[in-house]
Amino acid sequence: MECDVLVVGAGVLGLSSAYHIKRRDPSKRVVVIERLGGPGQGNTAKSMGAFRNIFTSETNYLLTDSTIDWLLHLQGDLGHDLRLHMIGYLWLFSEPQYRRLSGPLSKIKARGTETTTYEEDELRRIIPDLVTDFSEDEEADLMGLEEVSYGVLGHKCGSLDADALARSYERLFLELGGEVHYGTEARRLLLKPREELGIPGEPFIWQESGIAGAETTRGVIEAETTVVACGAWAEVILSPIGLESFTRPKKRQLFAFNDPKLSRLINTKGLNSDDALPLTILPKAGIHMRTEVSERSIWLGCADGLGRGFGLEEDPQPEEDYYGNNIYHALVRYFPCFSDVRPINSWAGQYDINSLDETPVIYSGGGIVYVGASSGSGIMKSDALGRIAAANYYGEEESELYGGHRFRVADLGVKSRHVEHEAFVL
Amino acid sequence: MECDILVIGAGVLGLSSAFYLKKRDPTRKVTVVERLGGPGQGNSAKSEGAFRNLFTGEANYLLADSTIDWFTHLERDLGYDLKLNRTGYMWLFSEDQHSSAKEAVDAMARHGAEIATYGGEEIKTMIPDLVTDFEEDEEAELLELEPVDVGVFGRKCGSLDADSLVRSYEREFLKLGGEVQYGTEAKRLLHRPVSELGIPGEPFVWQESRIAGAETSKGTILAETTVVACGAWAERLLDPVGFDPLMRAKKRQLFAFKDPKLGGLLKVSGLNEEGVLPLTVLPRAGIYLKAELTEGSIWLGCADDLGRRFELEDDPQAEEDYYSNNIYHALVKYLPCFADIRPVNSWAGQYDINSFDETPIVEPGPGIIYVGASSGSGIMKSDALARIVDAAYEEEPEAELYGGRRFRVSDIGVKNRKIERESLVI
Repeated sequence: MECDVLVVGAGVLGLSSAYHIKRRDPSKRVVVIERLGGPGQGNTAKSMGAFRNIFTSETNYLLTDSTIDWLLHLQGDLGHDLRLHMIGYLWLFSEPQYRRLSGPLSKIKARGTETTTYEEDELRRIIPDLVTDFSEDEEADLMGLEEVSYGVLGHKCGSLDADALARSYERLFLELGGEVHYGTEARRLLLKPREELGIPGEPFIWQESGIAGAETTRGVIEAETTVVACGAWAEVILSPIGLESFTRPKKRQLFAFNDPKLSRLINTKGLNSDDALPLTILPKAGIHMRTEVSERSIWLGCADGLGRGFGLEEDPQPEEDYYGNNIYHALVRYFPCFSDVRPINSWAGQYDINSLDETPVIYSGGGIVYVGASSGSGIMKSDALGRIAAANYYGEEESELYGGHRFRVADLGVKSRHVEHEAFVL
Repeated sequence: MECDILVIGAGVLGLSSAFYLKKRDPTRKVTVVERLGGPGQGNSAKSEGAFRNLFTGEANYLLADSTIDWFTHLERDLGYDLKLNRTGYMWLFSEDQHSSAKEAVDAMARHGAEIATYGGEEIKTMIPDLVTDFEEDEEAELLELEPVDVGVFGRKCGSLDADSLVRSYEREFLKLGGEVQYGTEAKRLLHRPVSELGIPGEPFVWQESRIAGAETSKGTILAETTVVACGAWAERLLDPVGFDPLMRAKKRQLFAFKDPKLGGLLKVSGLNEEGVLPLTVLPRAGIYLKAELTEGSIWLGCADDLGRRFELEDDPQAEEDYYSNNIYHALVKYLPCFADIRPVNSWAGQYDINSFDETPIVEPGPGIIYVGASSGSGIMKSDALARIVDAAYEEEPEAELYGGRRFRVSDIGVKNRKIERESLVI
């Protein structure tokens, strides 16, 4: 089979890139292949499904803010049901944390990003289940838990159904005549000389060579350009040809709770129009949770750093003990309502983390466009990244993001990379 | 066993770091562990043993230039025989290549590197065996080989015996009372809470934790600080604890030749006192070769990029075909004296390549300092990197390099990295 553009991966980044490439020139034959049986079934559907425009780095802000506008447009104007809820992001800080982040926070506010800061007593009034003060709790003290002195709420933040978003990109792509082949795994990229000489052993090191498509489980697909957008799995096909994915995979687990003891927390009033707990980040260990509005349940995760190994897994599984004998100890100090409550469901996915600057990478060259290293924020940047991948494919210096802002394509590349280090990492 | 500082890896970076850490305070117990039987037996001894101060990035220039001065000091003042020579580095360019490399060469000169530029005719006089012009050679044109129009020559460049360098660091370290345990493999890093609570399951995500030493093939070694300096193998220790080594391993092969037909390359006029071929980089495919004075032989390697897989191997081997049915085709066009000559020896090592900016990383973390990602220039930057490791250990903002120049430690770390990407990479 032959095509103009072969996209490897039908997750949110693969389908968004495919859609924007096809949208720009519907006469191109754009083929997406995916080893799983449907859109977004890799790590996209396993994500927390949260989005925010609260980032210190200008790059991250532009990528998310424009994507959020696009998500609102998709649901509001184009009628795609993404189960989008602007429930907000609520950071809980101790006094020293708040002071440390005052610089980054004023930078965020200076952009005009809408935020509200709450003091401890207001937080306790709005979220009566939250313990902010451990002066009576010797054990919490012994555990070194930080008290809660401030809450910062970002308003242009919320949650969506990641699966619905992947399907939405798929629908837009298919409507333009795009092709998606599920159950088709890219086994290896084809490296070919630009001019074949017909000598055994090609491509030689002294030949100009490039990627000419992929060998898949359903045969060879030759392509002018191959877009590698398979997230945490990118290294499996890039490393054998000596290309970098600039990422290492790390498992992330999610636990869902639905218990009468949590109903007041689930239905938190006064922070958003959904009467839901915003995506709330505890001051310790990157523990975060939110109300899943459609189920009226709580989803909880944890961004563990040192101690959580890097490593690609085919089918990552949540660990029972990780909640029951780890997160739980700290969680129950802040939210005693979780006492003896067990998750009703749990699952795990993988982040593709770029540890150097926690920002996605898009580069092109030698017949390839790579989009990845999204570091846990691929969904909330999906539209902007798809547009930048398309601009890369069309050889343009700038990409027009949704809403009209122009973004320098090379800024997310490698050779002339220009991104700031992010201070607001989960 | 317990020590103050455990250094993992007795290659050039491990031993040089151990030396400066011990030198700072000889009462410290500094222990080096190495899985192999002697110093530098991993990738250090398998390198080309070449050094240069020609780098486009200011940081890389400082690291290499000061380390080269240290080499000279070791030989001249401290009496070590490193088999050091200053035979130079010669980049051969076509006219097009030279004009696109012009900015890079200007940057090198701006740092203070001593550079001479030669025209094709002059080069032809100095290296009579070199073919600079393929007008008569249809086959070379079919291979699209670039002619040689310009040679850019760096004088403060040359080669040394990597093994002798590693032994010099080892000896200085041992003289101060340092300990080295060979045949001792670090199996995994110990990840422990800063304050143990005595509950099963520690360290928990909400605990402050640190690296507390390593489990080795000869028992557990507890250390206040663990320095991970095991080059391409660093990922085996760092990935499991979720500390990103920000590099991937790539095989590099070397081939040695000794044949009367190559005598002309050992009698080159006008470039160096020794009258031999400098480390010479051909205009195509990153093929480079140098005269190895001690053996009267020629060493040849190739920096293959696209198509050469990233992969960590325990015992990488040179591939017969890689020379004879790949490099050879291009090499013999530039240097017909290689016709029908087979290598007398060949071996392979591994680069630990940081593809982001091709520059090493020194990154401290809780209980750990990582030095690596040296991207093929670890030997020629060894002394500077070790001094930076020592400064990082002392939490000093700047390191003093040999000769007195100062280097900001955080520039070469991750969080506040300030490194220009190297634009002329071999």
